[in-house]
Amino acid sequence: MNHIIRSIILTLIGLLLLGWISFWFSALNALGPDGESDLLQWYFDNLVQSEEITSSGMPWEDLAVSLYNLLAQMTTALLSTAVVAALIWSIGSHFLNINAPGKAKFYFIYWIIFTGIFMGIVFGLVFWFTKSSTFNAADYLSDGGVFLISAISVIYYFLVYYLGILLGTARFARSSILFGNKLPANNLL
Amino acid sequence: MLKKILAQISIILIIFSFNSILAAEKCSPDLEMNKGNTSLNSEIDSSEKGEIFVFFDQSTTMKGFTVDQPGQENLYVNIVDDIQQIAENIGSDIIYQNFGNEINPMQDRDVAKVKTPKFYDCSGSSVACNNQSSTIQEIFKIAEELPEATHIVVTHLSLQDRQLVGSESKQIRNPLTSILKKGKSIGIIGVMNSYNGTIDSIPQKNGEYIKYLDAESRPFYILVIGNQKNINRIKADIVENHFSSNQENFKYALITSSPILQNLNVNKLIEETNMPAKLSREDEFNFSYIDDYLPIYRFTGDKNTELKFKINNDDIIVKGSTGVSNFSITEKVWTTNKIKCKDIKSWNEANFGELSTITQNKDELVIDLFTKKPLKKLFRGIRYFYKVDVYAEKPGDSSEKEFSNWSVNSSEIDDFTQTNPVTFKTLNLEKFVSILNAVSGDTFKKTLIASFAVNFNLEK
Amino acid sequence: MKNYIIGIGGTGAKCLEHLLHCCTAGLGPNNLWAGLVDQDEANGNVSKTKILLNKYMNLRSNLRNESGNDLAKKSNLFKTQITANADSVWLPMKGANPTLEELINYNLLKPEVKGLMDCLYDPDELKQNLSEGFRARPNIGAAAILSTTANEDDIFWSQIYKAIDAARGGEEVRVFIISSIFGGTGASGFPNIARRIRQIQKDKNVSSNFHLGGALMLPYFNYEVPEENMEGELYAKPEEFLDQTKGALQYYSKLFEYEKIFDQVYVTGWDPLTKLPNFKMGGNLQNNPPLFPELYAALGALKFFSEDNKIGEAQEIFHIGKNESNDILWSDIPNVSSNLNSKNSLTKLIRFSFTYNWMYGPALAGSWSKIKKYQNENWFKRLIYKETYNNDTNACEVGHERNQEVISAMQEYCQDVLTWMTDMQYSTVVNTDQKMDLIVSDFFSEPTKDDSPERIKIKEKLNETEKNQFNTLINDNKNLKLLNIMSNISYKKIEKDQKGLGVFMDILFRSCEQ
Repeated sequence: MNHIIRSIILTLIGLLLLGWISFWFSALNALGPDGESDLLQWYFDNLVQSEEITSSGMPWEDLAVSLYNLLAQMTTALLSTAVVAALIWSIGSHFLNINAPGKAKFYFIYWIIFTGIFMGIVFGLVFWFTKSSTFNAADYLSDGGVFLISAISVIYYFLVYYLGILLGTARFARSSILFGNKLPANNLL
Repeated sequence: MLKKILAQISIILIIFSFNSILAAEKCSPDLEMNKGNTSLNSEIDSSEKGEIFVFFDQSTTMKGFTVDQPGQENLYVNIVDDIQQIAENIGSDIIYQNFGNEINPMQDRDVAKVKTPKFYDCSGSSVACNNQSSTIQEIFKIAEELPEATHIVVTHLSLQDRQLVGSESKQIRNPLTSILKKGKSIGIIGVMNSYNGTIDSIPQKNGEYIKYLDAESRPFYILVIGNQKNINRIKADIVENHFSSNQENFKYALITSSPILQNLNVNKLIEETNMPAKLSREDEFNFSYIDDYLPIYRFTGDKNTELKFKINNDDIIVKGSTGVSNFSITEKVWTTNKIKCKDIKSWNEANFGELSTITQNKDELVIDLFTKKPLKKLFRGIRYFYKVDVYAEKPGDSSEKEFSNWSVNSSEIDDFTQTNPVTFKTLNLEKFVSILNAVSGDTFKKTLIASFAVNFNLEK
Repeated sequence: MKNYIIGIGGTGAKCLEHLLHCCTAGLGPNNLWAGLVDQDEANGNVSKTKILLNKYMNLRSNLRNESGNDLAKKSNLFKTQITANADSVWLPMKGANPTLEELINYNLLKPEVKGLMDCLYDPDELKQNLSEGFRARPNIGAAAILSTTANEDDIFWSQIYKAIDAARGGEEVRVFIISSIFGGTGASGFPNIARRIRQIQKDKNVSSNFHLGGALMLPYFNYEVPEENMEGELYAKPEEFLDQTKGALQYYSKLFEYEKIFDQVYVTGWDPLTKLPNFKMGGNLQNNPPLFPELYAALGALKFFSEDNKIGEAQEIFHIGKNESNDILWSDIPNVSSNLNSKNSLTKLIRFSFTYNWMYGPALAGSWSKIKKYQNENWFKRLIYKETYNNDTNACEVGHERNQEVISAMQEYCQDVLTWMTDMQYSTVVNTDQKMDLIVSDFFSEPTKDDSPERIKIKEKLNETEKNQFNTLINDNKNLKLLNIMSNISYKKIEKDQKGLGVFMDILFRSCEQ
């Protein structure tokens, strides 16, 4: 049990290394657009169908409220997913049947599958937020914007998840994760 | 005590509801209403009978219509009778005249002779008889001078090239322009009739003229210049009497400066049914008029909602007229990010450019909304107010097509004649009709025929 | 505190075997000198115990070496520092074919003394070749032992003299002897060696700090003696054991009543007697299996040596037996002290032996080119690689010969532990109505054929299914899986002074604790 608690703590530390950015970003978006902020302009220039929005006659700042809301919810969902996935893996790694020398590396396939499922969920969430009919603000996003959001989300949340599991995976299971064996083997980690 | 509290609560509720009623609901943006005319067909519908001038073409070639051709139906005689009868019915005063090189008055008793070959015998010299032509332009001048009368012309309508170009064509164009500008119309009734005579003044390629004697049928025409009511009456009577079962040998066109029957908004003729039935089943659908003029279709739809605004041609086009060949629409869109009317404080004018297309088929005028910018490209969570004004830009040229197979150009008639046709065509008929159309086109004004708006938001 | 243990005869040697395994498990004192007394030098059990003793001492010295591999002081694995003479066995009568006649110089005796000897001993007994023991003739053994125990220069007895000197110097000394009450060497040696020790103590005026304890094994096994080829032979007759025991008990009763020889005596036996399958008169063929009652004697000795054991002035006699049913349970095994739980320690050792023998030992055996496939695994990196890395050569030296010797020796020792436990479990109850299922062993071992010297054969390799039965290894215990072991070795903290292979060995040992 102690090992599992240790794993949980290390996972949370690993998640925090990059995850704070998502948290801050969610909070920033949750507060809504703020006048002529750089973020508002960046969204306009890079994420949305600028021409369509301009031609609609609607002020961007008014429309952006729902986009901010969408992004806040999306990043919250993605961060939660990364946290849950990292914790599930880290805790679950203690129950992988790595009970003999030389077995850990065979569980690499488990990690690949698990990570694949996690990435699939990330893709699914991004798709649901940006392409489905759930959020009206998804209509504002351009194809390039969706691509940008998808690419950044996939890369970033993979890294958040990865750092979490890199630190939190059970010591004996580290060989089952990519570059996990590079971690120093000491009493701390 | 309890009563006091209840009374206070009631007062508060009343104030709130009053306030909410008073709160300005801007469910529609501030609109500039282009209101159409009450009636586009500005002919004075006078119940008073006016003068009727009947002109019979006395040129020798017309004689062939009075001589029976074995195996062919001869309606000329009967129609001449009908004209006489109809004229008596619609006019207060009937003045008969004949024309050839000149226009000469006729006695009433001489009208019967029109049906006989003798009427068309030339009494002048052979040169004068050979040069007989139909001075139809003179009739148009008379019609121009007497616009309130109805002018009926019975003629073969074959016109030489010289009559349709240059200064001679002006003699046709100018009076017609004046007639049409005064809101009058020209009806052309064509009847394919038996023929047994000489068709003369057929131009050859070498510049000579020949005659043709072997035609067994040939159309004659009744031109009616006047108000549409009388024109239609005459046409209806002729059709009823002779062409009720088969209109193969009958053609009709109405040349008018105003083929538009009416503006649909004026008498609130636009209804829910002008849009697809499915639209009325959309969420929060509502159809209403603002200012007693502009119909608004309000609904909450989705990106697949089909929006097709249809108008029956019969509701906007004068029957029998050339119709309209070109419609246009003007579009304006406003947007707001508030969905509920009570939350809307202002609208923003959008700049979407062209959104819809307008097409016309045989029966309907269809405005396909959001074809150029589909609903898929619009945003959910925004309320759109889309106003469309439908205009008629140019009258149609259906009449040219109507008469095209009875027409032969001067460049083709020589060859046509060489084929020894049994049914002879009318020289330059199409050109003549196109001149009439051109004139009516020049006098046509862009007309607003309908306006409507859709006020919607998209949910998915 | 200095501790000395002497195993007398075959039974003493067997009890010492149990004691060695208990010391491996950490149940023993900090230090212990061990010696064996048997006239039958080639006795199979004595040889086996000698070999085991040497293995223990070698392995311990390799794993408690501050400049090499060090388990460190805190580790309980091979906790007891056991020392012994180069030859740990003392023969009362040396020589190729010693006889009692030669020992007492019968031919040089005065006639009246000769006559007395004739009364006491049969001619056969006087002439019996005693190189293979006293053949259950304590009368012969007593005479032999008494005549030879006085020699301070004897390398064996010099240890006893030194022990008593140490007690005189103020250090607490505890000496424990184990033997059977029946039989030859043991029956004769137990009282005589004890009395001889007390005499030395008295001679050296040592009145305090010296304590003597003993474990006396009442009959606990018997065997069938084949009739052929036994005519004229002197041999231990099992039917005489009970009579001998009866006589001996009467003797001890009187002895303890009038003379305080022992501070504490531990008495145990077994009923019904374990039926041993083979009868051997002596020599290396006399190799009886480890039996459960011997474990009692070993634990009695360890209890005697325990610092928690406060030895009073009065003589104490302890007896122990199992529960009354036919099932032998873990609860029948007494604790050595309040903080030395026998069951926990022994089960830990058994698990350690299992996992080392079949999982980790094979992984560490061989050259570096074979071993290096584990170098990315956390347990290897943390416990082996770092600890055997040579900064001068920039290489991990686990594959080097000196480390491989230790690894191999440990694997062999683990096989001995497993064999001991399995054999004890099997042999104690075979052909009886009793049942002993302290561990589940059928998936990793099997009894050999009757005529094979090894009663139990441990499988060389186990398949996955067999390995996974590890979690059923110890009966009457919560399951500890191989996964738990792996997890534990990955997370157990390395003690401060541990070095080299000692790190891994100790952590694996600690990881096997429930």
